[in-house]
Amino acid sequence: MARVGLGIVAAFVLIAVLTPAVHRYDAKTDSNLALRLKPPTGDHPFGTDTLGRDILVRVLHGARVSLGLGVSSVALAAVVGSVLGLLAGYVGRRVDLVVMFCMDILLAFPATLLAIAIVAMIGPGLRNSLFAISLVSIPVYARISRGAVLALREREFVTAARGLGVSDWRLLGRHIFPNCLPPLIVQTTLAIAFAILEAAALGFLGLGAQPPTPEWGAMLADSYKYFTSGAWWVFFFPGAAIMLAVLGFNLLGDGLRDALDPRLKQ
Amino acid sequence: MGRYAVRRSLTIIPVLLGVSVLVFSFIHLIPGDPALTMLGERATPEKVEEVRRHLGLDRPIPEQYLIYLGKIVRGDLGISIVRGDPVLTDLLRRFPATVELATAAIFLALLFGIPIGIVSAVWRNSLVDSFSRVWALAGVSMPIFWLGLMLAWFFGVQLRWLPTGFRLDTGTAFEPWTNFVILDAALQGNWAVLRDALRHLILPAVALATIPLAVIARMTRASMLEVLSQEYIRTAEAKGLPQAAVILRHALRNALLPVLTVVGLQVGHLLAGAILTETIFSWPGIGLWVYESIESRDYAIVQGASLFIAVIFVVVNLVTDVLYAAIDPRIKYD
Repeated sequence: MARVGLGIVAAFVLIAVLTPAVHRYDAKTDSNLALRLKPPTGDHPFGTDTLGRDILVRVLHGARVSLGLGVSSVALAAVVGSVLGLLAGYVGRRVDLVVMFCMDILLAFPATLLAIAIVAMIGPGLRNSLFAISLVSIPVYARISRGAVLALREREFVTAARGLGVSDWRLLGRHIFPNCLPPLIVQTTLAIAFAILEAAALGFLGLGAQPPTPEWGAMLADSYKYFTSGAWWVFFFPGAAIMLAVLGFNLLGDGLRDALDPRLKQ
Repeated sequence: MGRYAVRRSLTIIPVLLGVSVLVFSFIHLIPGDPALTMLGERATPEKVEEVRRHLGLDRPIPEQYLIYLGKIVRGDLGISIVRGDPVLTDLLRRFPATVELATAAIFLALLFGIPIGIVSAVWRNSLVDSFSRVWALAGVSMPIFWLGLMLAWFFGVQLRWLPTGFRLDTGTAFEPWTNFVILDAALQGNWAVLRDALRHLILPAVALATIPLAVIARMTRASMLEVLSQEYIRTAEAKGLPQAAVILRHALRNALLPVLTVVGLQVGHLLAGAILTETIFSWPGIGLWVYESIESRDYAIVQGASLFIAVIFVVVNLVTDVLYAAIDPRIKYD
């Protein structure tokens, strides 16, 4: 299953990288009202949307936006969350108390709600969505890395390094952090899946990427009012792309967890 | 047990205070002048000033927070800028619709999730297991608003079996007592309305149930597998108990403990997921209301609803933990 996940993820990454190189997307010239809401045909395999735009082209370009948003928000959350968790676990006492209290506050909200509320306040857009999704993803990283540091702090190789006079920063960076990596890598894969879903939800509510940017969630928002007309292709393909991408990362994450933590394998 | 419940309950006080600080700060996240953003560019300076004063934005921030805290403790979540109604009144009026939807969703999730998890664990690596695992994984990967759209299109538009929006058919004459339409219809003995309400509930409830169902099925499977490998199960089998008794009476009762925690966590996610589901199905609960308020920049509602949902989330998690301790006496507060 993990291989299937890896295959799906690799395919989406390739699409995200290659599509803009092969075809330049220009929103201004993309619409053609004569081709409005045409069902899938040989010329337009995914059909056309309410402005006569080719859905396949927009889904392919959307991979870059959605994956980009997912990966960059998780990267930001991973860096901030891991550093906070490492510090909380290593320094302990007040730092630990304050950092983990802040994380508990963030976890007191359902993540989707908090992301929606924050973007509703700071204003819609891709950058603001990135910020909100990162913020709600931070606590998991902080908890994982803190837990790993607490387990590692009293281990002999750490005591030995400390005895040799290694500085705190070096000890954290060179000795402790690399040993925290396996659970963080697993979490990153699963977090990207979550971030893609969140980004799509924000886009769907009109809070994420703004039209005419070809983002999957925003494409659904553009088209969902037309479902009563029977034009299923306008929402089927962007939604299927979201699901497939998220499924790919979830499968990969599950596989990595089994590989990196055999105790959990069942 | 009693000691644990008291100590665990005390831990939510600082968390709730922290939540109030975060929700309070929402208004300060608005770029520029929040009053001007709410009223739009064409507002007169007097009106902007009035809203600023009303929101207390002319005072120092710590004072603003204390005033805010004082208000929410008294149940004052502010006034809707667009409609002029108190936020709490509107919230309580719409909440029954969301509770009805979320209850139906969690009911469906438990009804199908637990048996799927059990079957998957008992016949591990069978075709049923593989199918249910893939299905569970697909469930957690599904954008619920997309699933909602697909269901509405297929069952509502193509097959015309079920309605795709609202709680009742338009034009239905019905005076609810509590705004829990299904409950009210049953209490009033109005079977035609009850049938209509249930028909309207099916599609949004199925859409909202998908993720919790998948999560519960996965959790039940994992938990059952762990319990089934324990020695007391082998003892029960060695005694010659029928397999059904071993699974249902001995294994399931212990396996359901972790599932309880997951159900507790899912309640919060259901309330957040309701924003998306209610939007698709024009379901007049707090989710649709939040969506509409975001569009009309009615920030007091976004703030009030966020606080309300977070408080429910925290309290439900507390109740789950205490219940867990009541069922499993090994749990102690350390």
